[in-house]
Amino acid sequence: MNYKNKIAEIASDILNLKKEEIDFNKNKEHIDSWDSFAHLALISSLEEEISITIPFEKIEEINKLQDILEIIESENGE
Amino acid sequence: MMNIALLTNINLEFVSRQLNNDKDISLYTPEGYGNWFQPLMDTESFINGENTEAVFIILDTQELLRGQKSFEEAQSEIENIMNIFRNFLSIEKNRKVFISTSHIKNDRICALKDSGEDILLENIWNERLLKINRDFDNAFIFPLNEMIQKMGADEFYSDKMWYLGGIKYSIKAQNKIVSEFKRIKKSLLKKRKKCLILDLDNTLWGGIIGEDGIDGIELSEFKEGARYKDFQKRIKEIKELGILLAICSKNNYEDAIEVIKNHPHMVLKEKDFVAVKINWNHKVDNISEIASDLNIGIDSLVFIDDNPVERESVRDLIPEVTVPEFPKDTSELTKFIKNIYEEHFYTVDFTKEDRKKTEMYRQNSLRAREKSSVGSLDVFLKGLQTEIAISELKNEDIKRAAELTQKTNQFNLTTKRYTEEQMRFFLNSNEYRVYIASVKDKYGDNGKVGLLIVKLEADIAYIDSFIMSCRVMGRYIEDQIIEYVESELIKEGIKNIKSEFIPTKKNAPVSQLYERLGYSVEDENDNYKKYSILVENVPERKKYGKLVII
Repeated sequence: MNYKNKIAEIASDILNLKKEEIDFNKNKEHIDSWDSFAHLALISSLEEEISITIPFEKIEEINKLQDILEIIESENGE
Repeated sequence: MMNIALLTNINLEFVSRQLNNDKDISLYTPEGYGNWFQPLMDTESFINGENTEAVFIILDTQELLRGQKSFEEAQSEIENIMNIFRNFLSIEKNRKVFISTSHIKNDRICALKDSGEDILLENIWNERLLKINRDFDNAFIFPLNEMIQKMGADEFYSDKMWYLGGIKYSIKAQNKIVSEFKRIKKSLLKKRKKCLILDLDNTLWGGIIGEDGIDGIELSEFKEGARYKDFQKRIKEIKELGILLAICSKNNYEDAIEVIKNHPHMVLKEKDFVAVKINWNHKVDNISEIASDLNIGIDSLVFIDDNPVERESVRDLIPEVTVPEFPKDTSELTKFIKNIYEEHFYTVDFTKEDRKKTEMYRQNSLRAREKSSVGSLDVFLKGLQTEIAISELKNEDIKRAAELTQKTNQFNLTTKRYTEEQMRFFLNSNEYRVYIASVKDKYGDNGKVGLLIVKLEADIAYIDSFIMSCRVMGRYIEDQIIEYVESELIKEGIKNIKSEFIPTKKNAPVSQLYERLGYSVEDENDNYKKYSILVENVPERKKYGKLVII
């Protein structure tokens, strides 16, 4: 599975961004639509849609989409 | 535009965000989470101020009863809440109020023997709620419990979201709640479709009546035939909600109507249909006629047909009609029709006025009608990418060729039945020519579906049999088959081609075929029509497919 594409797809949906606006290294502080609720919705949607687990303890450390990708890859294999 | 209020004791942020994105909905939610109670008690300040048509009360019973220490306390709390509902409903008679059924998430650890209090509380809630639903015209059930059962509690609740953000239901679950809201909205805004148009063969029963006969089709209470009977039961239920039903089928009228009138397992009767189009006309024309007969918009029709070519022709030529994909696995027919109901015919309430309206449509259908013009059939047939592969009969075709003569009833000009032995004789005889044709199109391969047997005598050729499977009828494929055969006969020095139509109970659809193909009647009585054509008179024929000679 290509996690990166799936993350981009779900992020564009939840964060109301166009595909081309998705930047994996942009910090969430600089994305207006990434509020605390969107943060949860993003993680929850990813877990539900691609059957992966993002550990509870790591959720607060997520600051950009790249962080999510790295967690998923290290937890769930590539 | 519809004004709705959402009152809930849990965080449904995702639901409200989705509803706020819907341009048909103006959503009101009270300030602060969990504030569902105040608006119901103090209607002046909250809901009256808004022009709210519908109030949704979505309560999570586990949260609601969190503070209750004993079963008795919990039960009396439920009774209190029910009284609040009753009071609100009697004051706010003009608003529709949707209240969720109860499901209690079961986290407690206890011996099997001691479990069950939660179920009992759920039951008390649901029973009281059903009573309210009966007592008040403006009360409705919001089927939360059913949604949780259907999805499974493990997927519906999200512990992670709960601990992180106090959000109890998963995103997937909240999406389901949003869908339910939208279905209800559609129904309240009267946006549901009005008429369901149904094909017959392999749709309301299994098999093809023209081929299998009334005793051969699949339709029964149990086992295989129950797929179709159950499907019909659900359609009948949709009809009871004021949806009009119509038939659009390519068939001999007598064959099909006999099943509808006399088959012991037909759930749908003739009187259930406001329009019955059983003929050999194109479905696009029939469907347009149904809309104009009933005087309803084409965009209020839903058309169900198992045949992908028919579906595509309707989608192409009258795109306003909704044409759902038919399930490949017919054991899914019940699921299929329930989805269609939820998507297109979802009904919150069916009132006396609605019933009157249905009657009015029925009468409309009796009025004189105007045939509406539709897109071009020509364009559609060209777009099918039909490919007709024709060849002289080979040894390996014998079985299929015999089968075509044995089984084909509708497009069969003389209905002569031949065995494989006889077919082998034709193949080896100098006097006979047998041609077999297969048909492909962009939807797939129909296999070997056409057969033509000719007998030669000096410079005259007699068309002994002309057969085509009903799957590919109405596409002028026969025109190209006969044109090819004629050209081959001309090469052999044939000057005159003679043919025959022998009427049976089933083959009325081809009674005028030779006339259409330019042959002249030489002799005619009740038992046969004999034709001939001089080769120099053979006209130019319609060509929609690519002819491949093998």
